[in-house]
Amino acid sequence: MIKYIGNRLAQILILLVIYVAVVFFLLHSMPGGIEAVLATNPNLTPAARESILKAFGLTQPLPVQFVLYLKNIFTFNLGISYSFYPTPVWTIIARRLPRTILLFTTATLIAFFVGFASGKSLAWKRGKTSEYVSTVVGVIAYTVFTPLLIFTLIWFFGSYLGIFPLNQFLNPDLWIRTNLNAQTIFLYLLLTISLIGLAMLASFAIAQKVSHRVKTRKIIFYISTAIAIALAVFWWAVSPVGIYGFDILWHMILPVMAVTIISYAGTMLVMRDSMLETIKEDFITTARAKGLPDKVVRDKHAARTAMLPVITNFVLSMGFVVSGGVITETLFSWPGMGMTLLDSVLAKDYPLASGALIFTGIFVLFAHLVIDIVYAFLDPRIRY
Amino acid sequence: MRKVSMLVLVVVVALGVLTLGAGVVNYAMLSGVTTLNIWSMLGPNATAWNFYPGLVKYGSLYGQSDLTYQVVPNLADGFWTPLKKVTENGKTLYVTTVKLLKGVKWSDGTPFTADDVVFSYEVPFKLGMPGNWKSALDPTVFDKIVKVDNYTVKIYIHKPSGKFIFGVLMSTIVQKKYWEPIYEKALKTKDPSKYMMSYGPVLNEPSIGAFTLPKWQKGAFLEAKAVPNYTFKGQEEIEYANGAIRYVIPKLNKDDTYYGKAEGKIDHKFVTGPYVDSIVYKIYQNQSAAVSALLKGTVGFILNPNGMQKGFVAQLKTNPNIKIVSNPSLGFRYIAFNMRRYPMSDRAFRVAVAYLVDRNMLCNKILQGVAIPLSTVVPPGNKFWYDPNIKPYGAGMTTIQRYEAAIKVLKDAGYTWLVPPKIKNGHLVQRGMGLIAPDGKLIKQIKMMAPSAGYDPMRATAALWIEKWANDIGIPIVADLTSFNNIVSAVWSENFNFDIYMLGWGITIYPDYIRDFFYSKNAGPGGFNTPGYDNPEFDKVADEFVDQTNMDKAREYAFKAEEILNKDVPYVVLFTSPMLEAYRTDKIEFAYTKALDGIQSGYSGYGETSLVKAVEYAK
Repeated sequence: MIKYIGNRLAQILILLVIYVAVVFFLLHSMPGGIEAVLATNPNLTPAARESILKAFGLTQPLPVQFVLYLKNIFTFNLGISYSFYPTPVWTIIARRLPRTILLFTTATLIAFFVGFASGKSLAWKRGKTSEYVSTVVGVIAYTVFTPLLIFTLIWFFGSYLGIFPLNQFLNPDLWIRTNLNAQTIFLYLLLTISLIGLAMLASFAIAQKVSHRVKTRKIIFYISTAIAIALAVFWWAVSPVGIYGFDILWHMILPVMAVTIISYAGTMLVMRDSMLETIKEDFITTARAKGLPDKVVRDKHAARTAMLPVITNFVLSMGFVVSGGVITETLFSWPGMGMTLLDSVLAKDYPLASGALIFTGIFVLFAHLVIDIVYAFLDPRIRY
Repeated sequence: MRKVSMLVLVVVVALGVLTLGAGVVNYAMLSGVTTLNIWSMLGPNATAWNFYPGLVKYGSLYGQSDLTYQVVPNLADGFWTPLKKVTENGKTLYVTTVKLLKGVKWSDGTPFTADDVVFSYEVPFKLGMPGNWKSALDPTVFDKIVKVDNYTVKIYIHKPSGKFIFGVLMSTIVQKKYWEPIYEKALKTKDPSKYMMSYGPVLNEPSIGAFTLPKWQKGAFLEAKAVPNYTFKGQEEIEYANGAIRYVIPKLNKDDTYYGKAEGKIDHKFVTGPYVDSIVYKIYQNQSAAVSALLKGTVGFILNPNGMQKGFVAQLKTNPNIKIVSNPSLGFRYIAFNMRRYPMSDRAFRVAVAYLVDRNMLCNKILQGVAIPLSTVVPPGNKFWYDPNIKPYGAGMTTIQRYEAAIKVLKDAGYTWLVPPKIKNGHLVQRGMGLIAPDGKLIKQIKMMAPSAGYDPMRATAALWIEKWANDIGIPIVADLTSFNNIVSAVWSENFNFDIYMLGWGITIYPDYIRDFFYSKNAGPGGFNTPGYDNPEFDKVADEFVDQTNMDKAREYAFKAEEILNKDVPYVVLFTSPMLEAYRTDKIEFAYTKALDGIQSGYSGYGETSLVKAVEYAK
């Protein structure tokens, strides 16, 4: 296994170099580069233009720029952004990442659990009206034109019912009275979610050790999870910064709803299809013939086997979480990694665009590695 | 959870009510601010979004008046003395003396003195700050600045020029007390200029303007707070119909009139505020979100350098509290001929095309009023620099008359056709085909690159009509609708690889771009003179124009230069787009809404920030 991981890491490294090269040359080959952008600004004299190009390090030949860039990448230096000059790319990523992670991780997790559970149940109830309705709704949600869905949600919940904010990630009228930095609150929120996640893992492990009975395990797990969530809510409610945390969560509802609807349908449909294939297998018939309860056959035998492709989807989605979503972030005025990528490409901010892409690429490559490792654990037939 | 949500809602509403009651105006912006550091803002981060809130803190020796755009003293006490020729260390220089206003204070109470001016000029110049700093303090113009006493400075330049007035004398002034310790630290680093530009976030920097910027929630909003002891509060700016402009500053006991006598009809009168406690710039990342916020009343105005998309107008018109204003934008769309290639190098060919372009039909009938016809590189809204006597080719002609004129020009120059165009009884009865040059060679297809409809439907439509008009008389122009980036790349990165292209320029009030765009020395790779226009007579006039420090004389030369361009047609100027803007009449009151480049222009260097009122407060 260790040898396999070592080999995969070496492959990842080679892939990364190729990926960096592709990203670098692709961005630089876009028509109308930064030089042309500056040339179309009549307020800049040629000397002023040259001074900017020099500051950006663009006066050297492209191959030399690439070698320097590659060297920097492997020393974890993603360069200086042009549009935020002279802010390092890392600083911008660090600023935008928590917003994206909070929004998209929440949505991806909700989508995974809801999609997994509903896909499993639907396949089990195949042929019933609920399956047809859910499948049609799922296909619509999966194929819906994202801006249309978002505009509909904004119009219905934001304008018509007026119960959720239309856009932005906070309410300026509230935040104007504080010197708090929204970044700090985002980090606190992420910390809270991570702690709840850790508490859930710990309670799961404890439940496994304490009892062999599934029911008892479940009770321990659910109660301890509920306590962890209640403690977190209590801390935020009594904390002086609580109101700001709730304000951000309040602004998150519509974007999370939008992302969840889109990603949930994918998970649900994959799980449903995978379950439909699995329940045709002989071992399911054997399990039924043994007289096992329906729920046990579904959850312990069928769902566990059927979840492999769903897990692949989920882990890959988690890898892509860091890239955010251009449409969602733009339409909800949520400046995260997706908008960073879009804005930097439009502004010909090569270092920031490359940085955002490479950062995402690294995560996705590692997500693939994680999938391979997780497969070995989930499927006893797979050995490396 | 429901209770908590309700509590949040109640607090938000209460704060909102308090905010409105206190004289606050809220603006929507469509992009985030990337820096509040002036060295970076006027360097590589020179964006309109940074300028809107960022420039309110600073001053300059001279500026331009609201609406009339005349050069007027700002922190200077009267005009500069005439330039005197001196020799220093064998160098010939020109020197002027500028007196500074006494009694002006920064927001922290520190008096404004010559030290601030000298520091603000020396730091960017010595550190070679890039971008606009280099344009303002151009080393080919500016040499040095010397403090004479606390309220007098001497400025040395290499040669008199308009850039001395619109660059050097209008360069930004910062507070020395605030920036000097940072500058000293910067000097100890490897790259002092980078250190200065990276310093930040520069909140609560002392301001010499009407506002300070104490709060910046990145990606969400900025708050500009009114300076309570603002020196120019109560200043009257009175613009007379005879061109005179009078400034009365009660706090400084000043009453000065420039450009004539303060008599006769008054065109505009502005009394400087600030009239609001604060301005909140809320960041929305798309126009649709900003429009929703305007409809809801969350913001009173959308600040956008490109104006509003026409598609939103109908939606906004449904709200009786929203007013939509339209102004001509400060810019123009044009076609440029590559005069390095034949037949674009032939004046007769260019004149023929110029005759064919019927701007009025294009803008008023085809584009149904969404574009404003424009035929000169200086728009009529720029009153001082606009030459009303320029008559473009084909002015007042019908389409058929234009065809006839273009055919005549081509025939007179020796062009023939395989199938000549025929006009009978005011109708084109036969389209021309196979245009043959005077040397007997067939003119091959001429490609006109223009932005596609996805990027700019107006230019795409214009290109297709120009193609049609040209084809009607046998000129083989083919409109190549492509991406903006492809055009920019072909023109600037691929060493002028085009026949004809259509693009647009955003321009400035002082039209030194007339020289930049057509000066023969700017025709090299990456230069502004994309047509490759080379006319020694024009170069001479353009040099005279930019070398003038007397603006009346400069205007005479500018007019001459424009006449030459109108005759030679390196560009055919087509139209300008209207700047559509919307604001809530129940939230905000502007001092003026009719201005070249729209209301937003008053937020990037002019005085609108200190004139705006919150409606509740005004009442």
